[in-house]
Amino acid sequence: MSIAIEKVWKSFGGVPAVKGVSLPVPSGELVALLGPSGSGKTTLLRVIAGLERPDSGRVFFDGEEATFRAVRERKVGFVFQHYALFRHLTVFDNIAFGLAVKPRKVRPGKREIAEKVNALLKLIQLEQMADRYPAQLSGGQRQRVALARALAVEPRVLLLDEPFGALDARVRQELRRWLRRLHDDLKITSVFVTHDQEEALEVADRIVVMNEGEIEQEGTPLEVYDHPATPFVFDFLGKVNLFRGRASHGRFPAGEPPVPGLLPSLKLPKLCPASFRDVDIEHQPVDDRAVPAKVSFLLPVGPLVRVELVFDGFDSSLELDLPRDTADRLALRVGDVVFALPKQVESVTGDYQI
Amino acid sequence: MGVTSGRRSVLPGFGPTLGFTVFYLSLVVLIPLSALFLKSASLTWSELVAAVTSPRVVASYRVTFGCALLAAMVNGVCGVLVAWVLVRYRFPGRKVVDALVDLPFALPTAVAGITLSSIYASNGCLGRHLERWGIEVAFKPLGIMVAMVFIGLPFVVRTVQPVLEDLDQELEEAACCLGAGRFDTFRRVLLPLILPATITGFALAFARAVGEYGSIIFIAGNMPMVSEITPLLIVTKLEQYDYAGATAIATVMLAVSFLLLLSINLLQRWSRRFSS
Repeated sequence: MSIAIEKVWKSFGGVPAVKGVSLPVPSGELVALLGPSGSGKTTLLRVIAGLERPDSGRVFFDGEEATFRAVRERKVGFVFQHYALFRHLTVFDNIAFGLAVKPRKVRPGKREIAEKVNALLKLIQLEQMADRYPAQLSGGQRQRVALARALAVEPRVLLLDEPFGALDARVRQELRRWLRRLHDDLKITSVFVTHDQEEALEVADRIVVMNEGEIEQEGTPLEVYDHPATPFVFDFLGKVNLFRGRASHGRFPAGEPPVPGLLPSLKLPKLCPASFRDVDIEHQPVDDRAVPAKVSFLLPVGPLVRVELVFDGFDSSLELDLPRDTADRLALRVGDVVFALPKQVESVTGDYQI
Repeated sequence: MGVTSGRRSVLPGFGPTLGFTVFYLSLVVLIPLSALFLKSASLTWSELVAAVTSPRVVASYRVTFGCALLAAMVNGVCGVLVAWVLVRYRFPGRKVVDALVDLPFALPTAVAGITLSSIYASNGCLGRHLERWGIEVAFKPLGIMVAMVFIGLPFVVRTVQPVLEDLDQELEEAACCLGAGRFDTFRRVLLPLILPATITGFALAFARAVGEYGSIIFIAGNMPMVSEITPLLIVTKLEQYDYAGATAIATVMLAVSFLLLLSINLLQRWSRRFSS
């Protein structure tokens, strides 16, 4: 089922949380609402679910207006960050809940319910845990039960609010891939909220980046990552080193890194931030674009070595992760002078505060 | 590390605190109670049986425990309702209502008894109208129940209130998303979660009602076989210097109360079986 949101506003106690957001979600897509806390992403999700009523604006399901439809009539599956499992019910009864509360006329029989719940238990790989209570499960298991519970009623839309936010890194990775595969199998229109850009990039078909109640950018993960539309998206997506300088004719002033491929508008002298996505480091200048820099900090982190470089005349430093073997080959030490060659430089115009 | 050291808790002070607990419980509870048993043991077995099974005494058990049970049930339902309103809704005067709930705790029981009997008496402001419909409250077992409901109310409200406050709103939202209506949400989600606290409140209100004396004797009328409560019977025996007889009845009361509270505790353990 497709979802369309039209100019939705919602404020709490006079403070706007969502400011006139419009967003189409095509049928069968897995969309990530990405943004920092307080960006209005959860509020938007709750508006779709019907758990919040928008101050103005409309919500459409499959082209039909659903703005004032009751929550229980929307047939949405909602997965909460902290699972919201019924702790007085066993895993089995939790999953069966949505079926057991159906009106008598449409309620499936006991055996049918059991078959369905068992199939879902198999899907979430928790067949052994049917008789346990939520308190006896790990976080990852609880979240899988919550998902199965939401799926049991065959929702037309699946909404997930920071579904992996409360889990540790490893479980989170595992569940992410599992969710992606699940979505590929079920093809159910899904919207999930996250503040973790990596999660959004890895799982979603499309990413909607939100900030302060507004949409900053939407597109496929690659589009959003490769062509960030605003400084905010730039800053928020992944490890980005921002350099702020006054660009002139496509170049930063003398002694500063030249910036190839800038937008034409940037040729005018103006303040603009630019970022280095990937930087090669060598001991010798291999290219006339290479910039001398000093190694100010080194820290091995697992298979990577985090290197911090400082440039003369720049207030910000450059932080990058080198593969361990590259770092070993270069035999870097703090205080070394090296040459940094940016492989890709992005620049952003806009009302960027400096 | 000695031979006896088993699993040691990280929290220090188990020995001294357990010692103090046992000492304190002995001093405050066990020693007076054992004195009670000792005193009643001065009767021979047949005397004891005769003292605690005379028709008047048996009738008083029925009145006391029966009314206390009914009153605790009424409080169990109405107390949950009051707690629900206080927690769930914001309305002017909520703080006042909240404070009113504690009043039965603070009021001297005799004052409560006199007040209740004056308004429920056949010339009282409430009793007058009730009598027209043929309902007599004062000086009847119903009056005893009214007094017991009055003094037991805060127990249920105060035990259920914090549990209701702690309930996660997401649980109701989850139930709602799964298609449950308001009634199903209450019956299948909220009620099971507040049930353990309700049972605790019920047990406390019941225990309080069984032991209540001050307020009841004013409103009960104290007619033997009809509206005479066991505590009053004990006092009557004491006034007649029948100490052994009084303690014998007290022992029975104690044993029955203990058994009832124990079974309520078991019931409660069952009701919270899910929290391991």
